[in-house]
Amino acid sequence: MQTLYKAINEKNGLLYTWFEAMHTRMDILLCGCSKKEGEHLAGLIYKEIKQLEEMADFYNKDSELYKLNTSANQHPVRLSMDLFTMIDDCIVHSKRNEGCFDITVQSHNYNKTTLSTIRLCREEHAVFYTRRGVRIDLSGYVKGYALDKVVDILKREGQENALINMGNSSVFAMGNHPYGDGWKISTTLAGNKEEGKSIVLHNNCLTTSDNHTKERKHIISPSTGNYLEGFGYISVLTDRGTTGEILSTALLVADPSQREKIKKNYEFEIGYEIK
Amino acid sequence: MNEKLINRRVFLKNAGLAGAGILLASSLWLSVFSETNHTTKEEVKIGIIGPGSRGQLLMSFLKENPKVRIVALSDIYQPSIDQGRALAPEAKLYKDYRKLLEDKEVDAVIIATPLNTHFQIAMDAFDAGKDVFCEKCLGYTIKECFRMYNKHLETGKIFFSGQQRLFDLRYIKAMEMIHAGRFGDINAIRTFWFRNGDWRREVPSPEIERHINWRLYKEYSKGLMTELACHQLQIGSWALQDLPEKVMGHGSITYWKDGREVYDNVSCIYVFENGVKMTFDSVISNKFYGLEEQILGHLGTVEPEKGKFFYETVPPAPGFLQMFDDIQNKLFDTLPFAGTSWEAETAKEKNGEYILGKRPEGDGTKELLDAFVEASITQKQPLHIAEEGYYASALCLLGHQAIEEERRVYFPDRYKIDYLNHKRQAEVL
Repeated sequence: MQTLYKAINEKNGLLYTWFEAMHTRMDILLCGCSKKEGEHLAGLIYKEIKQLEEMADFYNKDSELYKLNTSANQHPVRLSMDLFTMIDDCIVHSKRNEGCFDITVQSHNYNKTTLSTIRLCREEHAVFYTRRGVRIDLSGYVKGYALDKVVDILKREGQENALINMGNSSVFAMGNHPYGDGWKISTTLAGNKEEGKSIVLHNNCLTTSDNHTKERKHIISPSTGNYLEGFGYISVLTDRGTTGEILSTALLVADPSQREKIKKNYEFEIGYEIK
Repeated sequence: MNEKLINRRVFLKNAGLAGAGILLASSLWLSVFSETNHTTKEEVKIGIIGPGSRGQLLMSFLKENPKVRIVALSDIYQPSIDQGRALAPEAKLYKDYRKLLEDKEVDAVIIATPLNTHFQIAMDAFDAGKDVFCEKCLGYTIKECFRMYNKHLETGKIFFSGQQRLFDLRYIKAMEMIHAGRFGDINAIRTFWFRNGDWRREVPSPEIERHINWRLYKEYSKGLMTELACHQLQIGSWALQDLPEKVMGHGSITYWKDGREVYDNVSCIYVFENGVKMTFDSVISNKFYGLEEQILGHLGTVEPEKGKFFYETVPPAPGFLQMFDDIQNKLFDTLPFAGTSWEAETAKEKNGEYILGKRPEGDGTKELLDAFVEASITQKQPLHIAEEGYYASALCLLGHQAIEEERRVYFPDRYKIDYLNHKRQAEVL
């Protein structure tokens, strides 16, 4: 974790902290804090994100999620509150997003029924897979969850104004810029017809899902089980990071009729879009 | 405006510094270009004292400046005179530099002679009312450098030294980034200049060996310290805005045992008051590492010769740094970064980033000479130019003293001037 601090006056200043986590970068700008306060907050945030990273890394053999994926078809696996909450939330959302955001797309022999093979025991925070080969991948969700946790930490600690960036694709703005209302953000996405258009974020989040080149394929469509083809992106404005992650991915892979239904199920705005 | 003329706006734009409201507090001498548009019809008549290889290089840049007319040449070596004249056919020729200084047509002089002659020529030039551009190292001793600097103050004439890095955009931009804290606390600077060659020039007749290969003999030069270190040690004071208090070092001849008197293998450690260190190493029997000034901060490294910087781990995001700066400057602007997810796997390559966003071009020599011309026209000495030149020379000479005496040498109080952490302690000599 790296930090830069600049004092504006004796008590207040700016603290910028950045580090690598969840296979991407994190940038957090805190305004109106002392150096000591800012460093304390940066430490709390770093610790929280690293814990979530260790917990929900699909590829790390030591992660709680990896262990779940390798043993939940044999017996129920009791999980930490955070991991259980993430899985539960994704399953609850699946009906609202027409199954367009599915955390089981990385499963062997995936089909549209795979998600339904996951059994949750809310009392025990336990998960059981009724079928072999099921694998939960939270890569498209965990950044949003981390973002919400960071916002909660900052609110709890009394920090009002901050900009939190998780890998450029998930950005939450708290409160106001010191010299303006909200925080003005624009996109670096290529081919954006509204290039240069600023979006003002104020206690909300801008989340982007994309295939930023024709060659880059990294999002699996639950409808086909194959990677999404072609260039396209969508950015959504939501109140919560988790909602943004789910919605941006779901809208990118949804067909027109699914999109219309999804739009009715959520309160959000489109930030940028090419599809 | 003539495209060959440079002004501050264009110069800074090339460095990506224009329009950002950035005060170039670390490169105050750039104000020299602020009046270029008002001096387009002016002309400086320059005399070249020492049109040898270095002198001819400087002449080639001066010839590109429409505000310059090279009106006189002086050298005691006829081939240099002949080669210089090919570049400036109209120039008057003088065997004795003192005659050139008597020439009323000459406004300013370029001194590119062997080191041991700089002092007397520069002092005579100031006394003759000429502006002076003297190649580095300024003097053969610190005392000579000190007296040259004082003579500049006394006469009020323009005084530049051949420290071209001061006008190299890579260095200017790098220093601005360093002073903004982008690389954290700078705790060490490693400078080195490695070559693989005997450093000799062809000698047409044995009796002029020492005259041609003056860099190899102690009577004329102090070798690698005065010819190479002088450029690099200046980077330390520029980056740290501080001057070292002491130096220790060692020198030896380990490979080129060909009758030379100066070392072919030197190392010095300069120590600042806070313990920060700057090293200079030069070996001329291996060129693998070339030359560089590695500026080591706790967040990152700058290698201005390569024109690159590197961060220790994940670098700070440029957009966030911009917003960080904007807030300090009370600006509310848009932060353009949202979009495609940043991928650690592709970003981890340690190739660094170019300071100017592209491969470096030029080394600042042309701009340094253009600056001298502007200063000579306006008769305004740019801030810090003479001081940077003085300390670059004094520090390399101090290192040489440490090598020769094989002891730790402190910067003498009597040779301090009012600059950075130094305060003048002696009356002007």
